[in-house]
Amino acid sequence: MARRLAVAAVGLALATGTAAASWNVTRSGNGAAKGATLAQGSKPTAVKSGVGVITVTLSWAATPGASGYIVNRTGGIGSLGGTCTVTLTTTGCADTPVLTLQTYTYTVTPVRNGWTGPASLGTTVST
Amino acid sequence: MVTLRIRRRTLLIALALLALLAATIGVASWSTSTSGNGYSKAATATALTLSDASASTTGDLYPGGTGDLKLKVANPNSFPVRITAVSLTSGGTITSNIGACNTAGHGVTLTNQSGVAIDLAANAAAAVQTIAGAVNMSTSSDNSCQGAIFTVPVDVTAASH
Repeated sequence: MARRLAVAAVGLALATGTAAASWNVTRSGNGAAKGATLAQGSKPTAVKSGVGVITVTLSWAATPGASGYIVNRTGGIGSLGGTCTVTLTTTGCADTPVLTLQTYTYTVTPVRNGWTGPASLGTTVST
Repeated sequence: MVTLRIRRRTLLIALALLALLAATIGVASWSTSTSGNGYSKAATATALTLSDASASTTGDLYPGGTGDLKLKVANPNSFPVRITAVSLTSGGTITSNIGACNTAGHGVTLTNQSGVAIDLAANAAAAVQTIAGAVNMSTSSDNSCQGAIFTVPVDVTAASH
């Protein structure tokens, strides 16, 4: 009995000694991360169609990281219409109706939540 | 003959008691080492060295998305170690290098990582390690935070390996 006790105790001591060779240690410091940057919107392509009621159909390439797009129109008379008046989740819209004998310039601005990227180069259309 | 048997039994009991005493001491040492001041049998363990990793960041954080945490870590020990956990330092605040971003709100948080397994060789020089997807940015992050570099105070836990 005493011999068994001795063997068990020695075994426990050896096992504990092995475990004590391992350790954990914690170090405080700084890690780093970086915010993305929304790229400039892609210059849209504009196609004029219709007689009487004229429509300008716009399309553009997606901007990486953008979740939406805002179309802006300058020049001419009137204001943007059709499906181009809201923040779009697609890469195209139709501005309609537009007036004749006008010159409009369209740009596309990529957005993501509160972030806004640079507006695209403008595409000019004469109606 | 009887005397010899008693001596042998006494010797064995004494040996058992000594071994148990040694085991108890060993357990006490082990508990101490897990609390942070770790020791091995052969050498004194030294905490890892953390240095500036900002130059290695890539702009991958968008509002409502996740990005990578970069750590630049060296192992000054003469034996290999494994990084097992990374967590935000208690009371630590994540800041950016753009004042307006800090003021308006960047919405950046760290998801504490407990299942990390990054191995560092013995005497490994400082090298950048990546904890993928550990950093989050809320949808309310301000526009001025585009391109900002965020400093994330962390506790890095490592184990001998």
